[in-house]
Amino acid sequence: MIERVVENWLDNANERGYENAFCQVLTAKGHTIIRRPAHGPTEHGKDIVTRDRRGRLHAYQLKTGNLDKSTWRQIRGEVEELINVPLQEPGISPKTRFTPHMVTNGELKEPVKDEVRARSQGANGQGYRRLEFTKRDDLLRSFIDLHGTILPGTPGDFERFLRLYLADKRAFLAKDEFSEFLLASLQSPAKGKKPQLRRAVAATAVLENYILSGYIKAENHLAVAEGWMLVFAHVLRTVEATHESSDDWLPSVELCIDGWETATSALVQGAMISTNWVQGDVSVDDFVFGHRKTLLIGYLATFALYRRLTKRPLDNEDGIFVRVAAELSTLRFWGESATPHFLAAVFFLWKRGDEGKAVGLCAALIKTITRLNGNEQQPGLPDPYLESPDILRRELSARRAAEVMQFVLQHDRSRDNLAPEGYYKALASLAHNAAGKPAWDVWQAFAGRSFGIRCLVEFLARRAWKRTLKGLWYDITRVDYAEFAPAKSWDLYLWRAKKGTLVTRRFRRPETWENLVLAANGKTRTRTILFRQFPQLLMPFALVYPHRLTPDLVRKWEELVSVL
Amino acid sequence: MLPDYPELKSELRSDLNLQLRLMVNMYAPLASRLKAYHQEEGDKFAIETTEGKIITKGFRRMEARVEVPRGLSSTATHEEFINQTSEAAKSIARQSEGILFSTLDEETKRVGNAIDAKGKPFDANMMWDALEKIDLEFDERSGEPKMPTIVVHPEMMRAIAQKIPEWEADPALHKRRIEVLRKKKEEWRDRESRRKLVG
Repeated sequence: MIERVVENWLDNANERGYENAFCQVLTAKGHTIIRRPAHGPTEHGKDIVTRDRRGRLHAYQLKTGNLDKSTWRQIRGEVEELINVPLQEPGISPKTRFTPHMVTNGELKEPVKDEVRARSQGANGQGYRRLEFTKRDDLLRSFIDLHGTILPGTPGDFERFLRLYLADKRAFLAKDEFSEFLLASLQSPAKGKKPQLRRAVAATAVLENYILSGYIKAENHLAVAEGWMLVFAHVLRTVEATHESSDDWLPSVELCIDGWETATSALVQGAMISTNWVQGDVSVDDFVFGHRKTLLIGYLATFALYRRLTKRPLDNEDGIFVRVAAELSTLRFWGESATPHFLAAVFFLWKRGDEGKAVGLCAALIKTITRLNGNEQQPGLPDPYLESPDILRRELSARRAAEVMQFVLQHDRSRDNLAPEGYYKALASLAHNAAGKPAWDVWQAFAGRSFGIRCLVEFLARRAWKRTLKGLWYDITRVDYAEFAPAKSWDLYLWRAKKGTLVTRRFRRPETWENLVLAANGKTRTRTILFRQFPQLLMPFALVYPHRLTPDLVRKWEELVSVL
Repeated sequence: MLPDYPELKSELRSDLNLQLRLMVNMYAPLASRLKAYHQEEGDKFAIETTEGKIITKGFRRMEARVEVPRGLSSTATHEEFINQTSEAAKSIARQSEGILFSTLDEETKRVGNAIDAKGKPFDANMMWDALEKIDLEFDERSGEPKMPTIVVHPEMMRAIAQKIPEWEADPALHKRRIEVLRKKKEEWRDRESRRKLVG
């Protein structure tokens, strides 16, 4: 049945939709990817350039659909470039031989085959280099062979895969389900011998690509970015837990990063093109607009700094700064899962020379958290385990519940006697939910603690804003700070870790400025691969995993961006 | 299998679970007043005491069994289920209040706040002795004390109720009350004044 799904996916994907999966297949076969689409636009007809295990070079051009005579006429120029123009890659001599490949998820029609054959046999070496074709069935076989050992193993896994595959591609990615599916894929036992890590990681990435390509086609760039970040994180978890050599997993991980980067770049481009950030059904967009704005600001700010950190600054960074600065005043802080987005904006403002605004935003966040989560308040600001769509749904449900209750009370004039106890119990719970408070669980509270407050406090301490912090300290001490410590360090990458301790601490009373600054500038304790080898992805990681925003992560990110 | 409506019944079941929780609140008046946090992951939690000590604990299970005989009519099954749910709510409430009191007992003994009346009947001075050992909070605006909740056995409550007019008229007790509250307020102000960043 999985073959039918893969066929369906391949037949409906465009070249952007299958290119990452194709690169994963090449990686699994031992190719080193020298050029891939995320590196920049196609050059001389070459989308992908690789070196195989024997050191031979290959150049690929990817297309969508059948290659018939009329399509061939349109792309002939590009194909000739693919074949005839030497490789222009750093460190590779233009005289180096290579094999050109045409890849399509469609069929190659006979007239095209005939023409190519004829040109390949051209006299005096004037004809085509031998052009290799990879067609639909070849691709299908490659993908199925690759993840043959890493399949949705149980009916439950397969059902989850289908739910993800068939989900509404305009909506947010179901990160919890996606994570469960990733865990199942990466843990699946092999048939026979245990597959090498390289194949297992590549196969997992290909499986996830099937799900994400639907979002790619729908241009839901946020979902794609989040999806690739989840794949990246779960692969790192497997790698850390098994202590494998980076030769086995680095190529696939780099492809995941490419996937994230391509999607985020598209999201940023889309945000900069849109003048009003309205999307979808405009009649009810106002209810969700504030949340969207906060998400976009976080990604704009993070991507600009990420590109600087990877030494490829964005040409339009100035424009992004103007946009971010202009949109700050009406951002929506829906709960603690919004903290990474705000912090991203704080760092961006700081690095753009507007420390005053950055500090102002940080202090305003602290004030909001202490106001809403100071001990006497109920229920408080939702913790980072609750994200924007969930909170919005509950808040709007509560509003609708209030309207319904009002309607019921106004129209329930039919009784002379008391209603059954159950009726009033239900009404009581409705009233509880409708009294201007979100529809949380009966026993649930958030007030009294915060997961993000320490990150914000330490940022101000490192910037030496003593007076600001002194002014805030009284209220800060009303809120304890919480941080989850997974039992195994690599479980940091899990969406939810079964084992670990939620540690809640108190700010000291009194606290000395010296101690606070010392703690704020302390050494980073976290030593995972993400921190050591991919620190440029720390804030992007926190945007997707807001419950993993810790003082350590923020400190490390600040250390990185401070030298920009 | 006979025709069924699983999705709708799932929603109705959620309503029933909500009612169960409300009933537990009703039967556990003390425990229900405590703030509760929902922990999304992990198997332990650690908290810092006012003395700065970190205490790590695992979770404790509270459960109640609901058994409904097969073969009853739909109405009878529903009624039986509602009755059993009510009993389950009472059981869970008893367990949660039990955990509350056993934790209070452990902690007061650990910290040294426990007072043993050694079999003597309750009198107002015991209450002031107890208040002297704990931190008392005061309302920032009115300055009034936020008195703690005192839990007593119903029989003791009846005995106490009879004595209240006598205690209220007792000048020595009145003086003690003023003195204890004054001291507690000073301690509170002292604690509040430590909520600062110095240096």
